[in-house]
Amino acid sequence: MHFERVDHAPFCEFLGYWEETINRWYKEGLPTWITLSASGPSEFTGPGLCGSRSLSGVYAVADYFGLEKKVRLPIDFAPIPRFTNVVLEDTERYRIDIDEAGIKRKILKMGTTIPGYIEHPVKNAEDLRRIRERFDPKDPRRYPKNWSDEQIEYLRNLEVSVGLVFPGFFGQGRTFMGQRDFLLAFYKSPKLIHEIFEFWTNFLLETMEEVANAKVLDYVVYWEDMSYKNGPQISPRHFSEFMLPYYKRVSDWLRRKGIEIIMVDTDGDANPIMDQFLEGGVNCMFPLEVASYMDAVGLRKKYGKRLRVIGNIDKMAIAKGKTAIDRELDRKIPLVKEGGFIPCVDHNVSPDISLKNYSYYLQSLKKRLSVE
Amino acid sequence: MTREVTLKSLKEAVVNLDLEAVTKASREVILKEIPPMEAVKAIGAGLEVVGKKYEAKEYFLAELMMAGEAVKEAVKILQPAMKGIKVKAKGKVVIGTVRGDLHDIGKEVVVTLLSASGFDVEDLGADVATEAFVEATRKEKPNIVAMSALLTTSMHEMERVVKELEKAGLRRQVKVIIGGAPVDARFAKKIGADSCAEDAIQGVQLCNKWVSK
Repeated sequence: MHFERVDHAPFCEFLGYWEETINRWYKEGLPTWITLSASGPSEFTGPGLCGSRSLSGVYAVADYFGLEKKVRLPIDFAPIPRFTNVVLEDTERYRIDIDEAGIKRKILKMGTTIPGYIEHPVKNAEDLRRIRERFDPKDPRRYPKNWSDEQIEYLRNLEVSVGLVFPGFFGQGRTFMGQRDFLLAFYKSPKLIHEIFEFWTNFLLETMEEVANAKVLDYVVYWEDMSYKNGPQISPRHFSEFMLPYYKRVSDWLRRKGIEIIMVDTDGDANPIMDQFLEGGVNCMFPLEVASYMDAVGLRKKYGKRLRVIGNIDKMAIAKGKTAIDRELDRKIPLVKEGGFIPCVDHNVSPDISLKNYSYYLQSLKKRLSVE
Repeated sequence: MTREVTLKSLKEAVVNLDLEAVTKASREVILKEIPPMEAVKAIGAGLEVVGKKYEAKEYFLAELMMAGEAVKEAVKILQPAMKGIKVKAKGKVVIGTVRGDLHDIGKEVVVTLLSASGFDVEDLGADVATEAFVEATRKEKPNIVAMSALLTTSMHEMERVVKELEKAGLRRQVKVIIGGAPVDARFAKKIGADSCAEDAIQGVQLCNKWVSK
């Protein structure tokens, strides 16, 4: 990712697998001892990000497929103490509860669908003041129990990349307020948006202070998820006005701490706000969903080595089978030679991908990356 | 201010997503006893500009939602004056997010824009059972059935709805439009829907086109 000579590009999945995918694969021959909930090879492997179920256990599946490992530090950016999980209604079809982030949600019992969010904890400045009490950056529970000089030394000597994922400004703002109220607040309560972002900047920097000083991080990831198929949810103008100043502060601080790779995780079409991300100090994007018009080759042409890219192998092509897989890899893999590109599936591996097609994809990718 | 100026201000307030200006212009409509349907037309014209700005990537989801707020604000003020006025809707749309899917932000935007464009909208909500779509089609006799899904796991419910509409002998009476992140024109064709909307704006445009034929 530093555009240096390497023996091969990483052979990995950067996100993971949906539960439905693994359930499908069991029927197609995946051993049942491979589970998403299995713990990884190191105490430090884990989501490092509350609520991202697809990340947990990815290592167990990755081990089975011979994918290379990465370590994500499980530093806790969620409320401490958590909100008490209270079930408000429980029927045969669904459950309504308040989750640990204080969000009232409806969960259908059929399948494993994404919940419908009913109410969020922050509606105004007073709510923000109240919830801030749960975000003490110096609470020792934010760091792993075994965080010690010995562990720091261990991490420094690891031959795999060590990263940290934290909720970004949009990501956390939406968690606090809910998508609808958060988006409307850019117009209706701009002061509240700035208050949230100011608070979040300070919280992030103070929480990360210790790990940044430990000099173990190869990269950090802002989890934003702020785009969808038709583009970002807010305009580039609003990004510049509301988010950019805070991005600059955090990125400048990270660089001063020696962390060079600053990544953003956003699904969907982020093309209209790519300039803003770069201006904010970001130099790596993923997962670059092909169905949302994201194209690693085009981005490299436009931004050159200012931007590293991860992902961008079209999951829909993998679902289609050999010919489509080879066509997709033929087009994307030459970019690996330039450096700054880790090819992997452009989001979680989806349930329309058969085990046979996924195995073929990995085999074909491995060959092209010259992985021993 | 003349009637034309007031209506122009209302249209511009919608375009500029300025809730205060929408309130002010809507109140003026009432004060000046301007026929409320003229105000509704001005709001519709404003929304058309919003749609164009969205297509030009000048406006994004937040702006579409704010436009919806602007319309709601105006309707709140204009509604008392509209009582007793019989307005012929452009057409009727039965809409819902399919069973197994609880996402309704996209659908909500479509509902607001369709209503503001003069459609009579029957919103069935989210996680709507196939039978409920069929029943509402039978009862409401809509011109259009609109379905939304965000999840790849729930999009296949759309096919079930189309099949059940066919079984019930209702399919030929309605146009079926689908929308949402995982669906596209190819999927629409495969399941027997009439079209797939890329976004809320295109969805409203398609509905307008169908009822104007």
